[in-house]
Amino acid sequence: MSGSALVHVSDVCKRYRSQEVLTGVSFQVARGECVVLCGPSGSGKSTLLRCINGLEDWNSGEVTVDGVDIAANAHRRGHIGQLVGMVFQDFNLFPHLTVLDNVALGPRVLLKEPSTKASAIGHELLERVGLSGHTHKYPYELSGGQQQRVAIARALAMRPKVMLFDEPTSALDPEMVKEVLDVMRELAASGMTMICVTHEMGFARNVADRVVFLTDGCVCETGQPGDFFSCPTTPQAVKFLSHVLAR
Amino acid sequence: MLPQCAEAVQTQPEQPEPAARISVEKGGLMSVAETLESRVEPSSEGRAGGPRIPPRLRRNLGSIFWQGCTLIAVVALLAFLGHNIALNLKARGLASGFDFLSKEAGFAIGFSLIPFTETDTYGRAFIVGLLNTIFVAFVSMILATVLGTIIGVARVSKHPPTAAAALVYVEGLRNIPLLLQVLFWQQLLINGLPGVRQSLSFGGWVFLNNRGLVLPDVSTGALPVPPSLMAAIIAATLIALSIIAFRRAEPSRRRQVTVWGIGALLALEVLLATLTVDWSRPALTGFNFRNGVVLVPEFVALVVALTIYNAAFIAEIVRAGIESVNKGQREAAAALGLPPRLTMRLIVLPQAMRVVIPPLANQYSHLLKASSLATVIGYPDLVNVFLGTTLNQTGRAIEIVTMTMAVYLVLSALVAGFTSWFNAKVALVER
Amino acid sequence: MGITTDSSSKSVSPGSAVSPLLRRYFGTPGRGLLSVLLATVWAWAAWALLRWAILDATWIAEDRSGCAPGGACWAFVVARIDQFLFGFYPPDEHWRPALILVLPVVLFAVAVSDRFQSQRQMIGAAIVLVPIASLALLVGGVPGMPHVPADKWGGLALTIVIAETSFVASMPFAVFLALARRSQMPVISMLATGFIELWRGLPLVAILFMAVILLPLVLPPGFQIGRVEMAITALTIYSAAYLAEVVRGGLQAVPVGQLRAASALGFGYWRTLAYITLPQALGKVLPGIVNSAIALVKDTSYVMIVGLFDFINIVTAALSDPKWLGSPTEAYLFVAAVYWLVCFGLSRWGRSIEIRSARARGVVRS
Repeated sequence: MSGSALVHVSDVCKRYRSQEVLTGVSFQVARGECVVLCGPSGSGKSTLLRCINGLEDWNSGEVTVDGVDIAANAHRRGHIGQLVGMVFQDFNLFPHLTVLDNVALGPRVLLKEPSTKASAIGHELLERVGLSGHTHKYPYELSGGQQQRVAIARALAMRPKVMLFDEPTSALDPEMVKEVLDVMRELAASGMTMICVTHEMGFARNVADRVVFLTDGCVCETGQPGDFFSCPTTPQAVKFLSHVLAR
Repeated sequence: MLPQCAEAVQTQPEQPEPAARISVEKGGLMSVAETLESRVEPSSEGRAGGPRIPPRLRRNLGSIFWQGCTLIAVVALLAFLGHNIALNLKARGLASGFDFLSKEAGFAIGFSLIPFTETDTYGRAFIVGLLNTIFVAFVSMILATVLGTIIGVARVSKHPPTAAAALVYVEGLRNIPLLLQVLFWQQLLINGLPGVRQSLSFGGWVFLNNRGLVLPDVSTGALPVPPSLMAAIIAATLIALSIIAFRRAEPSRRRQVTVWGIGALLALEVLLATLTVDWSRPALTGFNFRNGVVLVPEFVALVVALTIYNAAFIAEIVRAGIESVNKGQREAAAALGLPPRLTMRLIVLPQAMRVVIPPLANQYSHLLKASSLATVIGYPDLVNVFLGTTLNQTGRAIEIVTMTMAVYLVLSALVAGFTSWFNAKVALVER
Repeated sequence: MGITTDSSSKSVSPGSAVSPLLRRYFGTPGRGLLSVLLATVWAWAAWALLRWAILDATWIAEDRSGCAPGGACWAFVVARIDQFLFGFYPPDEHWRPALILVLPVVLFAVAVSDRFQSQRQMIGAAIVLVPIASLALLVGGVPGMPHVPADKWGGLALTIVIAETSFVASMPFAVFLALARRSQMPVISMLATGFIELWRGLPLVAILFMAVILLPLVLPPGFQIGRVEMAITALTIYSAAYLAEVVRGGLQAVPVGQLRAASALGFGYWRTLAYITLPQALGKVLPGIVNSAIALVKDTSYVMIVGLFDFINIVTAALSDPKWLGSPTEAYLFVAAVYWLVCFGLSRWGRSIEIRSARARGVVRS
C-alpha cells in the first residue's frame, strides 16, 4: 500500500510551548482512500490535519503529499492550495463575496483561469453540492449546512489531490448534518482522497475505508471500520468507543 | 401652581382594582401597586371620584408639561440673548442685514482658486474662503488616507522593525497638538527652505522654496477651465460612470467591470489631457517663477500638518479594522492557497472596510473642521477671510457668524451623508 | 483540538536550525533587505538625534550667536523657561503657578498607584477640587496671595488651568445633555440633539472666534467678560458636546434589565439614575472620557485665537525676540515634549483602565 500512497506522514512531532501535541505520528493514505481520524478531544487530530496542509509548523518528522515535501513548500501557499483542500469546522466563507465568488476566487486568482471559466467552474461545483439556486447570495443568507457545502465546493475548485475535513459537521444543527455528510459520501464515492476528523461514527462505519485512532498525540490503532468498531484491540479505543457509541 | 397639580394627579388613583388596593394597604408594596397600576387599562379608571384621567394620558400630561416648560425656558433665554444683542448693536451703532455681501471688499487675498481682486465683493470673498477651505481639506483627506492606510498596515506587520516604526509614528504624532505641528511646519517652510533663486528642483518640473511649492500649469488659453476644476470634473465623471457600470454588472463580475471601467476611462482622460492640455514648465525669471502654479507655504504647511496628524489616527482606525477580521478568514485564505499579500488585498481589507468607514467619516469631519487652523498661519480659508477680515471690516457679527456656522454644518453633514451612503452601497455585506 | 488557541498560522519550515526570531527578520531576501535598511535608518536617526539634542547642544548662552552651530540651542528654552511656564506672573508669586503645575502630577500619581485604587470617591473629589484650587491660586486676592490680573497669566500654568477647569465644568453639562438626548420627551430630546450636533459640527477655531465676537454681544450691556472666561466658556461647551456623546454611549450600554430591576425595587427615575444607571454608564466609558480629556488638552492650544498667551502662544511670541532669532525647532520641540508626556501618560492610563475593567468583566463572567 505504501508504494501508491498519496499522503505520507512519518514520525511527526509537535510541541506547543512545553506541551507535547504530537508525539511521532506516522500513517499513510492511499490514492482514492477515505480515512477517518478519530480520538478523544485533545488527541491532536486537528493539529495533525493542519500540519498536512502546512497551516501549522511542527518540530520534527516529515509530511509529503503526492511526493511534495510540505515543510519545504509551506511558504508557497499557491502550490499547497492545489495539492490539499481544507474544510473548516466553522466554514470560514468570505462574507464579502457572493457564494459564486467564494468558489470562483481560487480558480480566478490562483489558477489564473479567465473569469468566465472560473465562473463556470463555480457553477458546476455548486450544482454538484446541490446549491445551484444560491449562486448570487451572500454567505450570511445561507443556513449552516448550505455554507458548509459552499466551503466544500470552494476547496474542490482548486482541484486538490486530497481533501481534509476538520470536524465539518460539529458547528451544525443536527438536521443539517446529513446534507453535508451526503456531499462527503458522494465525494468519497467519486474517488477523492479524503482525511476526515469527525465524530460522526455512522459516517466512519459506512463510508471510510480505514479508521485511524489517535490518543495523546500518536496513532494508537488503525484498521478497517468493521474491525475497529466491532473488536477494538487497545483499551483506549475500547474506552473511546464506549463513550462515543453510548450517545 | 402647575407642578403641584401634576403631583396631585399622579398620587390619585390607588383605589380602583381590589388586588392593587390590598397591596397598597399592606404598605411597602407601593411600587408593585404602581407597576400594576400603570398596566391597568384606562377603562377601569376613575370609579372612585377624583379627576377622570386615564394613566397614559396622565403620563402624557406630565411629559407635555415638562416639555412645555423647557421650550418656554429655551425661548425665553433666546429672547433675552436676542434682546441683549439688539441693545448692544444699537449701543455700538452697528448696522445689520446681508447687503454687505454685494459691497466692495477692498482687501486682497493671497491665495485663491478663482480670480479675486480688491474691487471684488465680500460675497466673492466668502466664496474664495469657502473654496480654499474645501480645497485644503480635500487634498489633506486624500493624502492622509493614503499615508494612514500604509502605516495602519505596517502597524500589524509581522516584521518587528516595520511595526515598531509605525508604532513610533502613531504614538509620537497623535499626542502632539495639531496647532503646534502646523506652526512647526510653517516655521520650517519659511525659515528652513532656500530662497526663490536657490529653489530645490524636482526634475525641473516642480520647485520648492520659501515662497511655496511651484507646480507645472496648463497653459492659459489651452483650456477654458482651471486645472483644479478639470480635475474635479474628471473625478466626478469617473465616479459616476463606475457606479453605473458597477450597478449593472452581474454581482460576481462587478469587481472586474469596475477595474476595466476605471482603467478605460483613465486612459481616455489621459489621452484627452495630453491632446488638449499644454503643460508648461515653471521657469525662473528674475526674482520669481513664470508659468507655474504656486501653492503658498501656508497651504503646504497646513496640508503637511493635517496629513501627518490625521494619518496617525487613520492608521489606528485601519489597524482596528484589520484586527477585527476573524482569524479564520486568514486561515481559510491560506488553506485555499492565497499568499499573504493577496490575502490582505482580497480578503482582509475588504472586510475591514465595514469596520473602518464609520470612524473614518468621523476623522474626515474632524479634519475638515481642523482645517480652520489656517487662520493661525494666515492661509485664507473661510474662517480667516470671512469670520476674520470681513467681520472686522463690516461689523456684521450675527450675519457672518450665522453664514459660517451654516457652511460648516452643511459640510459636516455632507461628509457624514456621503460616508453613510458609501457604507450602505459598497461595504454593506454583513455576516 | 486542544490547540485551536494556537495563534501561529504562519508557515515556516520545521526542524530547521534557524530560530523563528531570525526567520522573522530574514525569512525572505526582501524581508532581510528591509530589516537591514530599517535598522540602518533607525540607528542613523537615533545617533543624529543624540548628537544634535545632547552631545553638540548648547545649554547656556547669552543669545543665539552663543550657540554652537550643528547642535540644539537649548539655551533659548533655558533662558526663557520662567516665561514659558508661568507667563508674565510676578516673580515673587511664582510658587503659585508652580504649585498649579505640580498639583495635577500628584493627582495623576495618586490615581494610577494601586494603593489608592479603592478610594474612588477621594480621587473623584480631588479631580473636582484640583481645578478649583488651581484657579484660586492663579487669581489670588486673599491675604498672603495678592490678586494677579488676568493679563499677567500665561504659559503652561494657564494652559493647565484652562484645560482642567473646562474639563471639570463640561462633565456635569455632558451628563445632563446625554440624559436629555435619551429622554422619552421629544421636545427635550430634540433640543439636546440639536445643541450637541450644532457644537460638534463647528470647528473649535470658529467657536472661539464666536466667543470673542458674540459673548460680549449676548451679555447684558455693561457686562464685561475677560478673555480667559471666553476661552473657558467656549472650551466647556465644545468639550461638553463631545463628552455628551461618550456618556450617551455608556447609557445605551446599560442593560434594560438593570432599569427594570431598579424599578422593581421601588427606585424612582432620579434614584435609578444616581445609584444604578450613571455609575455603570460612566464606568463603561471611562476610557472614552480619558480620550476626550486628551483631546481637550490638545485643543487648549487653540486659545491663542482669543489672544491668550498659553504655552504655545507664549513660545511663538518669544521666537520673534531678535536675540534668539532662528530657534523655532528647539522651542517647539520643548513644547511638543511636554504635551506629548501629558497626553501619552493620560492615554496609557486610559488603556490600563480599559484592560483592568475588561479583566474585571472576565472575572464576573467566569
